[in-house]
Amino acid sequence: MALGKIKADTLEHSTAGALDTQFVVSGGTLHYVNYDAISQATDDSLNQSSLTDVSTGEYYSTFTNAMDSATNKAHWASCLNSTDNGANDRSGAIRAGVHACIGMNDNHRALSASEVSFASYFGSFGSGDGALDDLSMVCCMTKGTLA
Amino acid sequence: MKTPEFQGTHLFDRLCWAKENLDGVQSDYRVVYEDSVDECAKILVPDPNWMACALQGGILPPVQVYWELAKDEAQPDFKKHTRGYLLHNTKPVEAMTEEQAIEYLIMKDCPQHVWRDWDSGNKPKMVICRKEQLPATREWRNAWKISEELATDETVAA
Repeated sequence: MALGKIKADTLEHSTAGALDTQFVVSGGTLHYVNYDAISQATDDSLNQSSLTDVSTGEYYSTFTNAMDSATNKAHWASCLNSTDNGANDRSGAIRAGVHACIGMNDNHRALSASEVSFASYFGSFGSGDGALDDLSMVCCMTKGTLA
Repeated sequence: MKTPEFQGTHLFDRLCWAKENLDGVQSDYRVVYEDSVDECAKILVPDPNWMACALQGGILPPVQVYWELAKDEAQPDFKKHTRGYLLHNTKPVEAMTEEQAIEYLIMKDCPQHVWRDWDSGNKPKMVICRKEQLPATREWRNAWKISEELATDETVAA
């Protein structure tokens, strides 16, 4: 049996308003940013007005359309293990690569409906500590409910 | 491309329209500011898709809308925004120049105590510069500060 296809630009609820189906297709991501900390520029984004580069490895992204609350949302952060767009690794297996997380290490900011802070690090190993680090691609994505 | 009539359209829908229809604009401007003497300078990087919206006109709400939402969020009993309609129903602003867009962005995304009072101390707390005026490498990033020798009179921009 052939798969059916429904084509519609809008879904409309009887009382709760309408939803453009492009957001269903795109998975409901309400904000994302891909920041290149080495060249100090945003490579791609949605629903971001600016990125503030706070210090080594620490950033916050300000929304154009705020979320409805400071806590009713979820974020994902990730980063590329490179400072030269992937030509070379920044951190080998002995340091367990690199990682990114929500929030900052040295410049704490309260959770907010209008922004998300995130940070990127390389890991520690036997004789060396991990640390905040600037990388070629530090990404953050947000899902939740818009204001 | 002509901007559709967007007043009353959800702001996020407008941003999706812009993402689909406008090319991003990478601004050369950066806003450098210090909001604490104990911290290094922060660098505000304008978003390319946002800048495209600002230059296009008819998409973004007036900056005063963001101030109203910030007031709401600053209330101690704030749980959720209840005035999000201000973003969607207020008449969008007309097309801006890149310089006007940077001023708007400062008033939206920099702390008010910085931009309202940027030149009252021994040295400016905020400077608009071009990207190439920042240090070329990230070395010593945590020691970046606005120069104390920076002149702030109107001849600086000349």
